[in-house]
Amino acid sequence: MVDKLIAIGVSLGGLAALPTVIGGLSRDLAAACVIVQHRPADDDSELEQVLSQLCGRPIREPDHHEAISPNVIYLAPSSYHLLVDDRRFALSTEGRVLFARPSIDVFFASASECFESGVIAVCMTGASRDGALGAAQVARRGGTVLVHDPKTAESPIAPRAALELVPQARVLRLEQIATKLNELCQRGAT
Amino acid sequence: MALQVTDEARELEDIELSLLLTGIATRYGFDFRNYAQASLRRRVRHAVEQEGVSNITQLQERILRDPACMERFIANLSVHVTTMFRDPQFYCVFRARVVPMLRTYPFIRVWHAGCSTGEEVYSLAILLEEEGLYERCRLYATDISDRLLRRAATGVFPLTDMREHTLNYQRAGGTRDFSSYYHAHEGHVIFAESLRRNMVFSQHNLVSDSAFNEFQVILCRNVMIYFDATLQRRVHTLFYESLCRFGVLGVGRKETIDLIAQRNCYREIGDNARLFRKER
Repeated sequence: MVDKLIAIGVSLGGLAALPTVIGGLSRDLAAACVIVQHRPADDDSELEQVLSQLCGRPIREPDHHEAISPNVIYLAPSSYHLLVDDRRFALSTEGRVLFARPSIDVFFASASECFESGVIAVCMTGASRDGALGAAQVARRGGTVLVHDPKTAESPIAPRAALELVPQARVLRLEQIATKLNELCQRGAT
Repeated sequence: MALQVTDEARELEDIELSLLLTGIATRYGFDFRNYAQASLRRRVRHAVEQEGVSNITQLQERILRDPACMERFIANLSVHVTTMFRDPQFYCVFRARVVPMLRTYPFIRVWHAGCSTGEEVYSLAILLEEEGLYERCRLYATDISDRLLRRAATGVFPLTDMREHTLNYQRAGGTRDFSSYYHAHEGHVIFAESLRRNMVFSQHNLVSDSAFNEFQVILCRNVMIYFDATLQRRVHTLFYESLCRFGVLGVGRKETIDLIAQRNCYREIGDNARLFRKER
């Protein structure tokens, strides 16, 4: 059973930034990893395949009620909010939050309710505040928040918003994020 | 947005939620105790905000004493924010693989289970109309929310959504001018009476009610994501019993039927459209 969850929130600039992070992740991660990337409704761009190719690693969209497994990289499907329910993925068709569905805030908050201090939220490049409130929730429940350095992020709006609400978050350059995640999630790490 | 939850607050919320659901089941006969926890919790917190009360206990007080509040609560639980022709690929496969099968029937019954505001019912009506089948069809649209059923029956939708609906319609294989199906009036559109002619809207509770007819098509898309495993099993049994042989069940894009008892009685048709034909 997995007790650590890496939750990556990303919107504008994601396709360019994610390969650096995902590509650098350990192949024996003692954590599940979930990417919430803003996407158009009913997105038929095959983002799963595109990202898998770009990142050099299989990435899959979970089905509703699928168990959350370690060392697997998941991508939030389009036109749903992704939630965590008793260590499984759950989906919702509620309305957009901050114009987004999937919403990063919704996933971060849901993940923190289930995994509590086991959540590592990564706030990456993005053009809206989506993710800031969720990151604050993660921090409040004892989880870790990493923020993509606004000075080098393609769109600094989301990282800045996260830092506003979680000033104690670690600010990292893109190339440093995977290393940090590996350190936090290696087997035996607390 | 109600995100702030500490340990003690969460324990209290668990108790209040449990009391609320028991109260509702006892007073109104609507049993939400087998709904999926995470999404139910979100909806209840949303209801607390919408009603302008401070906590779930206060919400319970209002719901138990005020039937109008209860009606709002049920509507809140039944709303899926969706579009017409959601998942256009589903409709493409339906057109290509289900319609030919339907042509062989003299009379076709479709059940939209958990139809909410009705977008899917109108979408299918349009598709069946274009395929020349609508005359032989009866579309049964059911939901637990009377309020949403009444709204769906009017055929009225916000004008602002029409652009998205139109794009989806085209991606779903529609070739006509989408606006020919409705007329616009003061910020709303009203779908043609001819589309509503063979629709029947009625209240039905998937938790407690039994089969009421036999169908060639049952669509229940993104409804069972709000149910826990126990309730999903019950509903799937109900659907299996309500489907004629070679009838088709359609679920949501990210829902599976892998874990249900009747899994081996269905065969998936098409690619990734979550359409299943009952083989036995």
